[in-house]
Amino acid sequence: MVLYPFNTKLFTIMKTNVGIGFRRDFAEELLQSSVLKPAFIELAPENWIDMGGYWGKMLRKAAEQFPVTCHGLSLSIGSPEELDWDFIKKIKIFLNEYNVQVYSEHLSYTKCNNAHLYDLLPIPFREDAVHHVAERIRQVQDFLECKIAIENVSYYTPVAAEMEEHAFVSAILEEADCNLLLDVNNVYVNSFNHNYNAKAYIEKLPLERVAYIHMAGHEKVSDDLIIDTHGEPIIDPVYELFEWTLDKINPVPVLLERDFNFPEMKELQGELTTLQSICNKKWNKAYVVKY
Amino acid sequence: MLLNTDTAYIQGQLAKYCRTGETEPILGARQGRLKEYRQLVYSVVNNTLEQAYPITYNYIKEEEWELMIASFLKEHACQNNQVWKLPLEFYDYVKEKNFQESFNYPFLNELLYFEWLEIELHTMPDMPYPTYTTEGSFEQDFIVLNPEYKMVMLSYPIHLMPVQEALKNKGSYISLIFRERETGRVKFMNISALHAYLIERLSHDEVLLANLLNNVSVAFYIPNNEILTKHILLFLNDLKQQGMIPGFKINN
Repeated sequence: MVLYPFNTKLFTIMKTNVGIGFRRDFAEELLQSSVLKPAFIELAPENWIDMGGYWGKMLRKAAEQFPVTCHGLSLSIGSPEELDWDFIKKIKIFLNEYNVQVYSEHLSYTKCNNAHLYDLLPIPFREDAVHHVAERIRQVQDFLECKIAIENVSYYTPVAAEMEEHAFVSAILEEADCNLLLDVNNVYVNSFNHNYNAKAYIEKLPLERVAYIHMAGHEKVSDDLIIDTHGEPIIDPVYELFEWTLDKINPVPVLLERDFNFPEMKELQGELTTLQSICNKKWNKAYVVKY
Repeated sequence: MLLNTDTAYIQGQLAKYCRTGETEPILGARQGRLKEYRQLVYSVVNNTLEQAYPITYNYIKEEEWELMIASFLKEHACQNNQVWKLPLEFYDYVKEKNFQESFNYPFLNELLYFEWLEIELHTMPDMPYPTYTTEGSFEQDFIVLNPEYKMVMLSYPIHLMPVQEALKNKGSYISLIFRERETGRVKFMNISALHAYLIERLSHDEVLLANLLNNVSVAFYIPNNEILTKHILLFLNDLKQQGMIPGFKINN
């Protein structure tokens, strides 16, 4: 199995640098822009596989212009259903075709009772689910011949939990021997929604497995609930948690997620610049391997 | 499977609630928070379909739209892992459930299909193009046809006028829908049966104009004369200008 990443040289360029989620709403602007300058772009493969015509062309242009990472939506790694091997075969072809440097997915399920739901449902934090999910991750990794990164998802209620979230996530990462996509905003959102300490949570994760970081904005919809919308700018406490986290991990690529309510490119670049300056401050000056 | 039956069952309960909105206690869940998941799933499906079918969405009543979406989510197990392909499943579902009749919109299936075709043509994988040159003559060279097209027969001219108007003009219409290669733009042309026949012939065989004229003359019982030649040449030139005919076969 290829250890992470696929292309060491390209990955070296990406790590410590900040990318952005490639969205149709600003694809044209991004490809022609002198304002928005991410180090790489991230695609959801489901949104691009089989796509021809105008968007097929845009995808090829984007992949020529930027290194690419992929963040999947429909693998449904936590599902009670069988894995969809036809789909995974398509993913493999896509990853190869676009020289994708990181493939990540969510620690959740999106398909159940033979129906896709197109959103990320929380897996019960249970021992049997750990074994089930880890086995599926291993199968996918074996087939793709590379390690994948699994993201800690935001969730609004636990379901039938028999263990703590950090223990659940850590056990899966260890048993599957996969990487962690640490979504810092999700940690913040979950710590607020479930009333725990975000830093204590992060410290309990196997941080040597962090291969990729996501940052995003969210929306506080009530006194005790935040929804992970990716539709707002990143707030200061999340930047602060990010900065604190960087001290504890090796340099990896960092991604800004923005899925709707898009601001001017200048504003998005402002967020990229802020993230980059934090990365520079924490990583480039003291490029020390901690593990 | 390494998953216990009860864990799988609980996961199924949450998924079922998201699709139906029908509450039942789920072990260890904060019941008040479950609605967020129902809302998220509903929004993804609704937004995807609203964007795919803007004409339908704007024409029918809001409560009718909401009823179709809610029924679709509840009764139909969505099979595609790519959400942008979901509108086709919705079209099939609406047709099967015959909402057209229950809502008394005789054009509903056609309208949904027509809107879907625009998406399909816009997004479908690129098809191999034969090698061609833009220089040539319709009279002497083999015509190369854009392979990225569909023709559809309609009873209501929803491709020509607003739905309200189209309702008053029931008849037989043929629409040619194709994707312009350079821009990826989807174009529509209202064509006659004779034109549709021409396109079919061109898509299947390498034919010269002289043979084409003969074929048309026989198929439509019309004299093969100057008027026919002029009419067909006009149509072919129009197709070339629009990008449906990119050029002519390169002779080796």
